[in-house]
Amino acid sequence: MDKARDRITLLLDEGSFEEFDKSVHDGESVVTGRGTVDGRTVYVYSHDFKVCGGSISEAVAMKICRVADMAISDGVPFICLNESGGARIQDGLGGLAGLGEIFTRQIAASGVIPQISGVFGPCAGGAVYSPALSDFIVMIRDASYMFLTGPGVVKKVTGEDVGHEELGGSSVHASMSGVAHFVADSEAEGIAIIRKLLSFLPSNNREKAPFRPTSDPADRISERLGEIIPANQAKAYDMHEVIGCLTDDGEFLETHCRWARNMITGLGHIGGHTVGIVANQPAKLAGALDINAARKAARFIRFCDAFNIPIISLIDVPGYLCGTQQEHNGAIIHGAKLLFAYGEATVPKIGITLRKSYGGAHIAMSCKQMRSDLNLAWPGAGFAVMGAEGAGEILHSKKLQQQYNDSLSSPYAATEKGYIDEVIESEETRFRIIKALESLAEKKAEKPWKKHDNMPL
Amino acid sequence: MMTTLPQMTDPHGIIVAITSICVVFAVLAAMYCVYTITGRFFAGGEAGNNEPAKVSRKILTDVESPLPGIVLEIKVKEGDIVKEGQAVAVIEAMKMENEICMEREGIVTSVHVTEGEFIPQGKTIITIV
Repeated sequence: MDKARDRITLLLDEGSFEEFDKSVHDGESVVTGRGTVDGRTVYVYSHDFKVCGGSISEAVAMKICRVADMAISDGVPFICLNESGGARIQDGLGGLAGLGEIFTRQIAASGVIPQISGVFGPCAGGAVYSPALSDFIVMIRDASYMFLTGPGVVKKVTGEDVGHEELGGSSVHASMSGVAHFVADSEAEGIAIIRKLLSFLPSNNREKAPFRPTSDPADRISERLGEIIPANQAKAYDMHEVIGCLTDDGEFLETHCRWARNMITGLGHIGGHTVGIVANQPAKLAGALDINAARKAARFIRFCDAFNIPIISLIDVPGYLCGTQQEHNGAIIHGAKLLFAYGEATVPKIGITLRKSYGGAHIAMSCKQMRSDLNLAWPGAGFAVMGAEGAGEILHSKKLQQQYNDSLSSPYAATEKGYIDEVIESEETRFRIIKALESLAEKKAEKPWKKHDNMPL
Repeated sequence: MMTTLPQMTDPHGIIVAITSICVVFAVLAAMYCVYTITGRFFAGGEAGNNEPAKVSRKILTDVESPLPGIVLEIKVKEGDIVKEGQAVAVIEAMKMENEICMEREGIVTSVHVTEGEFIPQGKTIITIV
């Protein structure tokens, strides 16, 4: 059983794999090479856990660096299939130096070519940084683990008695740490996710994602959108339904499904164009923004911006989650990440406010001032520093509450100031997005030269 | 058990005394080995250094409120079987009715809150097995 090569066979188009450096001495614990996915070239490495636990020796690192260099110079995606115990102890500093060489290339490639990691088994020690530096991580339920230090050493050093799954299993990384973007039930499913992900992406940052022709009409009127939002403002609804009404054939590849569920991020096609969707989820945490939601969305937005993928924001946000747990953990800094990510993105940005958009969260969610290209609102949307009751209490005026709902927070008031471009009927949202995407297709935005920004990390 | 202690100057007595001391040490050594290997003296006792494992079990069995708010409705009671995704309570927070849903299935062993009560973020709503 040659899992390393089997995974590559599953990943690549049949017969397209060309292996490199097969006979390199001491390099047997990794298989490297080039092939195609849906006709598009990719470079891949795949650890062979049977050989020295997939550990990284100098030779292994050399093989990986070679394909990484070729991926960068060819401008094509770099796929990492991981199952490794880390640096090879027998190699001493050589193994660590080798890992360093791999990472330096992944850092250089970050934002230049898509890098996707599939963690198919244990991935420990220094080896975890390769997935960590990539754009997306796929883990396999009950089979893959990621941790810097395994349970054995943890027990020896700290006395903590914890199993593989609890320390770094797929459930931990999918729902608690946010390290894993996808969890598959099998290797075949994991590979399928990688292939699907690639289908949304360009090969490099100088190209646009492939256009996917669709039979789903651009002017499809979606009556369900007019019914989704409950009349009772206090009742939640599932934002996934809204997304399903907007995308081509309702298809949506969600990332981080089980982490920071109050924010939805993922890739879809609308009118054939790949889009990144960022949406508040009213059904979780009232759709409020919190630390993890801000981190999740900010990274996703920056990925889309790096790879020329327009961002569609679906907004229904009551504000930031309050309280000491958030404040003590740096909600201010992490919340600012979301602002920063939206502000610096130069891809087409389209924001649609479905229901409410209050306070600092309003600014953070793709508002006009963040150089959003188009801001639309549904008729029931409300914009304000805070909700009517809260404002009435602070300003000691019940009359203000009524005035609030009538004028101050109404979407029409926002259009008068130009903060919202237009109030539209919910049913025509898909058509308006497609029209906007087409008119913004050649958007180019200038930024002053800088080495890089100082994003609040 | 001997009825008389042997004389300490008696060679036979010295051998018995040394043997007794050795046996005592052997038993103590065996107990130490058992403790370090299994972390417990008797079957069924709690293992040593258990705090982190306890915390992890807590995550799996305690359903906590993700936000501070007022308990509007408790949808389950002790003994109920709950499925993944099932809503077990409704908390009013941020001016919305927030359904608290199960991350996994189980059986409710106890309900810790009452309707109308204000609860902080992280408060355990129900415990399941």
